[in-house]
Amino acid sequence: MTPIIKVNNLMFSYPNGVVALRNINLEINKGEIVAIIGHNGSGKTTLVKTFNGLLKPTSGEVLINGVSTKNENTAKLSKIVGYVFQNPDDQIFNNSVYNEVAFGPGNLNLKKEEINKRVLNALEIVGLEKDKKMHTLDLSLNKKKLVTIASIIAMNPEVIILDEPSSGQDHEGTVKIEALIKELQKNHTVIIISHDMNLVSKVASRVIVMWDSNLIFDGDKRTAFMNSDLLKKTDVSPPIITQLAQKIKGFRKDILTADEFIDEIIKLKK
Amino acid sequence: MPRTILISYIERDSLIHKLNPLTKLTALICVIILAFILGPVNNLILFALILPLSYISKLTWDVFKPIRYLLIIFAILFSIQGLFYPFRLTPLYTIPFTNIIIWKEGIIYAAEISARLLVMMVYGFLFVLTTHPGDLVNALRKLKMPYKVGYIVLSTLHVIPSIQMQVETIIDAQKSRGLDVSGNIIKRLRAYVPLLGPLFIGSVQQAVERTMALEARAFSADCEKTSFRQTVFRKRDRNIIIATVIISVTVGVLSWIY
Ligand SMILES: Nc1ncnc2c1ncn2[C@@H]1O[C@H](COP(=O)(O)OP(=O)(O)OP(=O)(O)O)[C@@H](O)[C@H]1O
Ligand SMILES: [Mg+2]
Repeated sequence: MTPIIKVNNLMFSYPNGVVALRNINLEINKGEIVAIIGHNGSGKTTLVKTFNGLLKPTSGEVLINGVSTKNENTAKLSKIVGYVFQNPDDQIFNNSVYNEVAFGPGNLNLKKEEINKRVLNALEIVGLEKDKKMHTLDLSLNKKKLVTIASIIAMNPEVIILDEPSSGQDHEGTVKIEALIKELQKNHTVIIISHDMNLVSKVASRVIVMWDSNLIFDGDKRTAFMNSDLLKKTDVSPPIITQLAQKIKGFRKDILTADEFIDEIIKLKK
Repeated sequence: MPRTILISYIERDSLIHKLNPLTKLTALICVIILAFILGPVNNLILFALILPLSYISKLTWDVFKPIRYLLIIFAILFSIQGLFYPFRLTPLYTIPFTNIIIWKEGIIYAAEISARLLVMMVYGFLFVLTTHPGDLVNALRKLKMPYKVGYIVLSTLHVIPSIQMQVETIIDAQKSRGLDVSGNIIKRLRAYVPLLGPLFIGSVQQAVERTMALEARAFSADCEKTSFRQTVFRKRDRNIIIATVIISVTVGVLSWIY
């Protein structure tokens, strides 16, 4: 099976000379849920922008379903790879919530009723049915983020990329986003970029770590969270519960959830 | 992070950069007045003088880059004036197999205007590229220009690159949701038109927010303002101003007489 995204020796530099990606190789398969983590400016956003053709490789290649992005435009790739921008203000440009979400499906050559159906469905998934007539400028940051996600869901791409979905969200918002990602995972390949290790440990199975324009780790999330050198380098700390478990003698070092923690306590008692 | 910025200051260590902004402003005004007085040939000579100046300012080709935007205007000027100039008398060329005539007077008129535009454009750019906007505002304030007017000047200089960046961001957002803007100019224009509304509303909202940010940092406080950037008016500034004015007046008067 061809991977849905395949990256070969990708290098990318911005016109002003900043080298943002160096020699990146990776494969993402259908149905996976991958988290990309790394410090600010490490190249995460740049990397995913090459997946939908917003940025073209300076050298190397990005293959989407086996086809190089080199001669494809973003409009066409957006049908396969949906990218939710890091900053909602960079993405939202329509007046009403409804129009914003309808913009994408409007470019897919669909019938009016089908567009309407998709918009309402997407708004329902993110829980914004009631706000469809709101002006986008009047939305809270929470809701802006949800609108940007809905506008990609409405296009129904195979891959959905969420760039820092929980940034600027309060606790309730984060919980909602977490549930939303699990929902999306049922029908899509999902890539999230996040600094929130609680979220990452809960939704992702595979973690990619970026550091200073390089990909320095790609593998299972437990292995990543046990590797303290790796984490120190990228300036992230594992979830609190993992940190706690790592401090207790005799505990497994790769605990990620409360349930696993309790299992350890029971095992130790015996 | 800036991407493609049309007009902005480029930091270099050069004599022209170090001049007081008022010196450069005076010289720019002299050049603009001269451009209106001089005929096309002399204007081309004036245009050629930008070469040593841009060499001294270590900018090399940056001053000339905006000329490509003028080319379209030149094309329109020459074709419209060449064909329809109101005081046409002398046919210059008849396009074969048609009775379309290109008129000499129209071409001369178009050449005059083009040469003027060319001169004003490159010198204007030399000024903008070598003068930090903050220094300009500072220098103007030393001439007792009100602080608020200074801010208006400064923010206007920022507006063009910032709007350009916003447009690019929105286009990226549109492309990411399936809008095809490749190749076709009509398609691209059609994509730009719906942008104007949000862009305008966004700018107003930004302005309101910026006002609050400024007030939160005592923008309207009733006291003497000091500045981080220092502009100095040296002796050589005085000399250059005197020399430029004298030369410009002489050249202007001479070309007026002959
Ligand atoms: N448009 C641009 N032009 C020039 N350089 C850029 C541009 N966008 C980003 N960069 C630079 O490229 C590098 C990688 O940026 P990128 O946005 O991919 O990082 P990131 O990992 O997403 O960071 P963050 O966590 O802050 O979102 C940074 O050094 C950044 O300054
Ligand atoms: Mg980013």
